[in-house]
Amino acid sequence: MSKIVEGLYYAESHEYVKIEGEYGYVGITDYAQHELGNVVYVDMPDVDDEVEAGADFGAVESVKAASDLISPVSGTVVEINEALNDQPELVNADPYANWIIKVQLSDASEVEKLMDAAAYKAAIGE
Amino acid sequence: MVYVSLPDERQRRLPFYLAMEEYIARTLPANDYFFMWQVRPTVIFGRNQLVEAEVDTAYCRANGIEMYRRKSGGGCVYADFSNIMFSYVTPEANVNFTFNRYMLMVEHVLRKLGLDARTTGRNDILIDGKKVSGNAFYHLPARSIVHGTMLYDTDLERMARSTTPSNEKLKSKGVQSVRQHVTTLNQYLSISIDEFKAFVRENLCSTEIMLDEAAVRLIEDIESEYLTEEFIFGRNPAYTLVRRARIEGVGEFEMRLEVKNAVVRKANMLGDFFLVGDLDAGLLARLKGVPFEREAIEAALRDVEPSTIIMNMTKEQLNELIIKLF
Repeated sequence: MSKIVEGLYYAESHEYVKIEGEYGYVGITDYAQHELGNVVYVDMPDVDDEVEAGADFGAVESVKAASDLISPVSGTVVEINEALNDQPELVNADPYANWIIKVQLSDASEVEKLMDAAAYKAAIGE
Repeated sequence: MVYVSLPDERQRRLPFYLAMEEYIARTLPANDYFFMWQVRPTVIFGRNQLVEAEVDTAYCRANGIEMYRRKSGGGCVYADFSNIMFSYVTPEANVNFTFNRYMLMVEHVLRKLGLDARTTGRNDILIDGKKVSGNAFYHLPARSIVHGTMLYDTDLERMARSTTPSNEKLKSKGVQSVRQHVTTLNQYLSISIDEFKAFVRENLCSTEIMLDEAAVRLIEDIESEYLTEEFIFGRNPAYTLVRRARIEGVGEFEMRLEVKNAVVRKANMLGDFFLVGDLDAGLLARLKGVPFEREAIEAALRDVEPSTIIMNMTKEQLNELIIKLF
């Protein structure tokens, strides 16, 4: 059974966003990392890149597959998780502690279109 | 499964077919789709691979072998007209389930031809313990693409030459290819390549759709992204160049430069040399953010007087240490 964290917002494509003030931390869910298997590379955007809700901003590559990362929110990338450059497997170890990008949100109301923990739990059939 | 065909028999570049997979995944109604294609000699590397660490780019250019990047994961592949490429598009999202089901379907077809085909955990199909097919997976929202090779009668010499890097100094942070023994189907089969393709198609697909000219135009739009220099070469993952040297009277050095998108991200110098100044601020910080080109690096170091940082080191010795990284 996959771990789901209360208080985060979830997208159908299995990314989460954790909101802290005007920033959102975006990563993939425990369900997604489990589906993908051992992660070998995280293809991240650069700081200052713009991301758009519903558009891809990178990919996670595992021993099995490369999977597009779809941003749940719009805004500007203010930080990427540099640790994933050297240790992409951190995404498997704890996907919620190891977010991928930190975004300065351009439209905080976008999260209303995302799922809460209970809805996501239902969406993945658990 | 539905076989997808094109309205004409034109020869196309490899990215067209990758774009065709994306078009099918993003546009056509949910269903299982399959098609086969062949291209001129081409090297195709995985989404997160460092070109220079996987491909002999000089050999490829000299021999007219095209080079492209794909969006699926995995290692570097050589394709030509005798390496049949299989593409499978499905709404199934579960990676393991989709992979296993597809691999078993292909394995089953090969077995029907009397071949002792076996699927391995590494996404390959082997005959006699040697690889004839390698497969990769690209997961889009709501669709999955699995594509792979089927070596019918490929020039294995050219395959080996083109996918052996010439620069051994590179340490990529990206994904490295797994090199294996390969074999070709024509060693085991007496049917022609066209008969083989017809057999595969009959056994995997019960219906066909033919794309129209308008669809071909849309595929060409998607293809244009794959054809840009930025996509093929600019998406290289970060890599580290390492050079070890002994400089008489100064010490042992290990010089490391981390490069991403042709810009130095980090510089580091290790060794038993004797520091007399601030190595980080005085030297290494000057390399950060500098384009990874000889002239730019030389310009960045022009005002550095090495002997004020490392005892007994001359300007020539410092230049020599760094320029040899190229």
